[in-house]
Amino acid sequence: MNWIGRSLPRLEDPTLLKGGGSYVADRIGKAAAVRFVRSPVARGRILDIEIPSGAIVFTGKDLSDVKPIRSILHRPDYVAIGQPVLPVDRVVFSGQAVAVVVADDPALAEDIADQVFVDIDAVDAVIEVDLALIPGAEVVHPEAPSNVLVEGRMKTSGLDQAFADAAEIITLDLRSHRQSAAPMEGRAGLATYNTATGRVTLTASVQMPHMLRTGIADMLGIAESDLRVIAPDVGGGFGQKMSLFPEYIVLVWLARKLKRDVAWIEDRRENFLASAHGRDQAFTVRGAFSREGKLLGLDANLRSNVGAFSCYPVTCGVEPLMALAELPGPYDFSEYGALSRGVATNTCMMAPYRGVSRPMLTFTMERMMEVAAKRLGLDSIDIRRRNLIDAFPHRSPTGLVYDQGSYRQAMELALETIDLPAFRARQAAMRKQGRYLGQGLSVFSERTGYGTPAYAARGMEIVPGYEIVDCTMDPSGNVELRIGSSPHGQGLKTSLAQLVSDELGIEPDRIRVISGDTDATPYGWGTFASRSMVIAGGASKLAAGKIAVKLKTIAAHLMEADPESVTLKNGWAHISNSNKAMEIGALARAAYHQSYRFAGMSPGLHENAVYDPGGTFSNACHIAIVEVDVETGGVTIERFLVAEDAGVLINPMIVDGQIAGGVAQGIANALFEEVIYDETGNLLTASFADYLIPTSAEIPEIEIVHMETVSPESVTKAKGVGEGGAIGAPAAVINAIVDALSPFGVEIFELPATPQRIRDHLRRAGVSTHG
Amino acid sequence: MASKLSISLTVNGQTYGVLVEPRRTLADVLRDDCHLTGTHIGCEHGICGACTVLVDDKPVRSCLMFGVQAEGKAIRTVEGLADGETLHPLQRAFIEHDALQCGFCTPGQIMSAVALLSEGRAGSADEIREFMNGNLCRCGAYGNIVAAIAAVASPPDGR
Amino acid sequence: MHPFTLERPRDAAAALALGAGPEGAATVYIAGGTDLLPLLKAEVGRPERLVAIGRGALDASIEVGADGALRLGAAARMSDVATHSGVSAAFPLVAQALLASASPQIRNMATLAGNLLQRTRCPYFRDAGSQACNKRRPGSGCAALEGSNRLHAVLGGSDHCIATHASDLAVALVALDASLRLRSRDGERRLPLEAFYRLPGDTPEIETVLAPGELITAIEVPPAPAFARRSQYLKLRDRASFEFALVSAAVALDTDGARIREARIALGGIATRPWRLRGVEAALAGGPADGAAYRVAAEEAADGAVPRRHNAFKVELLKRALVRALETAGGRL
Repeated sequence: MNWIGRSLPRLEDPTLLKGGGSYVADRIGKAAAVRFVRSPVARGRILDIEIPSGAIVFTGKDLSDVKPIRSILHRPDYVAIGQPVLPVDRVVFSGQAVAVVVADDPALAEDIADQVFVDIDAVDAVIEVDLALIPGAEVVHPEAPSNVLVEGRMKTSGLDQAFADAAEIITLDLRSHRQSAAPMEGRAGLATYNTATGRVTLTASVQMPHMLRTGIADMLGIAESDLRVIAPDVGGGFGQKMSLFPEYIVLVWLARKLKRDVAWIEDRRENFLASAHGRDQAFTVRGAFSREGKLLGLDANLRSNVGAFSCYPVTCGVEPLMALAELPGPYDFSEYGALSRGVATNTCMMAPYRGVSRPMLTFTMERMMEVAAKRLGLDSIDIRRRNLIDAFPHRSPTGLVYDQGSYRQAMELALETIDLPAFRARQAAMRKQGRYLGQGLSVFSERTGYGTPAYAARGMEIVPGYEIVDCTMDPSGNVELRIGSSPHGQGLKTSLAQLVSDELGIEPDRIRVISGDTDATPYGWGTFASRSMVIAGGASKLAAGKIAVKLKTIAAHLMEADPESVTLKNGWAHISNSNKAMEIGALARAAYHQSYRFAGMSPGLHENAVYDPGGTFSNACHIAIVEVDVETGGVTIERFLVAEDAGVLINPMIVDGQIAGGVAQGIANALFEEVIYDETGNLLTASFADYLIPTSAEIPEIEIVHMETVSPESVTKAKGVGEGGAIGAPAAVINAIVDALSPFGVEIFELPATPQRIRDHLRRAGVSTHG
Repeated sequence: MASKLSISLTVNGQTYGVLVEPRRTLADVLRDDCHLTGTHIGCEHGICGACTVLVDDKPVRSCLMFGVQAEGKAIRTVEGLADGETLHPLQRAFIEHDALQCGFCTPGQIMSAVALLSEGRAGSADEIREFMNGNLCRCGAYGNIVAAIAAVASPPDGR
Repeated sequence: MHPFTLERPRDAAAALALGAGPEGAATVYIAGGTDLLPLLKAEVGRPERLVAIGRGALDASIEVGADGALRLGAAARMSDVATHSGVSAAFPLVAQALLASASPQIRNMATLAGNLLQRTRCPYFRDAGSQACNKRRPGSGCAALEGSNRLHAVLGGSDHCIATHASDLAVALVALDASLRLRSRDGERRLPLEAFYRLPGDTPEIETVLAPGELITAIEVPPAPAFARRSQYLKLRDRASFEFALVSAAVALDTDGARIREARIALGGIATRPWRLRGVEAALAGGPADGAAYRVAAEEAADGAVPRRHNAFKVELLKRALVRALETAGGRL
């Protein structure tokens, strides 16, 4: 029985469904309550902080021995900024924590926090990315007088010639407005103090427990062994929970200082104000096209608003440098020039949010293809056919090597499934009735499962990428898999169990996956960047494979056969061409209790493996069919199709769930979600009433069809897929809106396309439904 | 500090005698005083629906009610759905249809779904989507949630 | 949330006694609490005493009388009224407005009177931090005037406040000439709902004519059989569901399909209180029930509108919404 490829119901589910999930807030017991006092203004000098008498309140002055968070990239064009855990001199974004209150319960902590008076000499702030670049703009950090914290450039030698040769040059200005990952569970931490040993355990809602341990230990100047970090059940992360936040350092500091347990559960407003934002980007791109629609060269000026600090450990370079390296996407051209800058402003810091720069990159290239097709009088599918990469491996002008993919094939499959001619007929008929339907497409590649080489290439000081997995089979034949990856909803415990099941021939429910505890798992990098099935999966398969070898050796010895003839299946070791078989449990017992019999083999069944791959590219094509209400600017999505190639699917049901979930975020990115600051840096969207994440009513049934391109770059033959839905959906939806409004000549280059923006376009196009 | 009130809450058929300040919400009282942490708090402002419980069979936002307002009413939380080891049909359907990912919104989803079914409003997928629009899911499992509810409302083999 | 004492009176007389006299002046009544709790959590208002009223203290009944008039107890839940067969049949505009509000869970908890008394959604009002807000802190200024005012009013505002009133139910009731019954320890009175809401003027902190110690006890809607078949509550918002209106229109037509005898029209989301459009009603009365007539009449709907920096789009949008609602109610769509 093969477990890989089966939609096994998740092993995690029954507990969660009975209300037995254990998130941080469920574990706080009698811990003291911690509440942060936050700056009400975006920029200014701290004059004084008045503390009510008798209250336990700490400010930056009390934490002077704590090192600032300093995220490093080894590049000459990167300015490292220190982020004080609690600032002493100045605040740089509205919501920045400036003091911390400890009290017996949360209500009391809130009461006291309200009485802490923070006197700040507020001055003008700079909020918008392009305004921050204007000479003379307010300077966020004196170390970076131009507000540019990181800059990357490249230019291929033939770029100018490509533009000289072009029949058509298309210049586009695109804008993606700020987004927030907004996981249902906000940030939360419980720091418990062991009075006997002095050791602190931090239980926190995070995606990277080991990295948190390293960072906190570094900033506090303690040994990593003095700290244990546990990620329990985590209520979503989407990238937001992979950065080290000052609040977690403060929690551990408090536990050590007060020698008591302390807990912080942030509220929704704090999560919007002070966790991390993403995708606040402005791109100016020029494409040089031949008369036949071949993209000859691309020149790009990319600006990413990175907020007030550089996230740790991936740094503020993550959005701009990824944009620089991956803008070419699935398209085949050699000449490329780009300047990409990460710009500081007095806003909440940027950190990765599902897809990072890729939603905007895909939006850019897909709009470019559509505009080019129109300008050149070509069909927009044909222009893509002419430009999509179809020979592999492919080396991009930025030096990325794309392994085997199916960019064209996925597009053709999607088109076939959607039946475009039938849609066009219906579209024409509806237009006569004054109804505007449109179809839009996006094709993209998704860089996934990349190990240390990719991160090292960026110059990161802390280079993530590998995963180490410990695999142990106990004497009963049951397995414990200890991973450094740390799930936050992806069903890793199920899919990894399936992988290991196939290696060892036992049922998935005999495999226990242990994650999220730095005391109990090998050093690892958590879950992000669509990596887990590739990297943790790869290491799991390799580790389990080593145990399989031992089991086969033992079986062969005990049943007097050739190890090559042993098959592990359904809990038994079978000898082929015979009816000899032994229970795997019996083999396991022998490994531990009869070890002397197996000369040359270590006792027990305990192996580990490391996997650190170069990375692999999955790909997909998204097609959206929408209807636009030209009077209100409202958009309804009638149909959404994904044709996805993520290699071998370990658990198709879980994969589809990740795709559909990403698409929901992508649709919302296209239509509703926008973090809005006013000019003074005051956050206007600090609740779910203002920042509109989608409800069940906005998201249609997502149709998914799969292709399977197997890559040698992944031991499990799976490619990563977690971010793809969020990457391709915005472009598909916007292209569909533009198609719907093509009678009016409306072009959209901004996300989200809110009803008001659509109405503004229509008004400018002179559309009136009067008379 | 205002004095505490002694109240008696009936949750999942069991009586809990608790001493609470009037300003404590029902969500907090259920979690901290009754130790039923299955009900989660996602926004404390009544928008996300993670805190949904049934009060006299109607789905309500427990973060928007004071605990004392729930006295004398029959409260049902996610912990009261399964019958010992036997899962409620909705719980089984949620597993079969992969209707959860991180699990944080799930108790609220399922309590709303229980009400939806008992009120007979799960006629079509659109009707289900409309009724469930007060329960946010950031993992985006909406399609599967709707499918799970529809499967229980009209089981394919007429069971 | 600031601590408070909670009284739980057993009947209306006890509830009213708690609100009476000088000590009663600072009493805040709470029924469903769905608007009040978020305000308390955000520290907008820090009452020392809350008085819980609900089905015990106040009437929650729903009745369509023999004369066709609708009588709703103040404590009736939104969901109960929205799904009441008598209401859906005789006053579909009310049912529609209720179903367009909030979410199923909130509708199960919230009372009609609470819905009518809800405070504005203006973010400067709801952020008790440092924002200037004359409604929350008289004399502190209005941050919305020069700030982010996309969601604010184009009608009925002043230099002191441009916050919109958010209740969908109020818009439908104003269109239907509803009245309120109010009761205090000293007696009862009745007044039109339209007269209940004040314009902000220079005292935006006083939103209604409700006196201290006074409670809404009932909502009465006169019989409207001619309007029942042709009515529509249209709510336009950024997201398809669960959100406050950018613009809403409550429209009811007494028409034979070809000509309009009478119209009842009110708009929401665009003014500081529900905005009845008697001028537009007069323009339509006696005229044809067709798109051209609607569009001409709708041009008047924005008379007196003062657009602000970010909400000028509402001026055009409200006309479009009105035409759309008229076309739906009139049976063209």
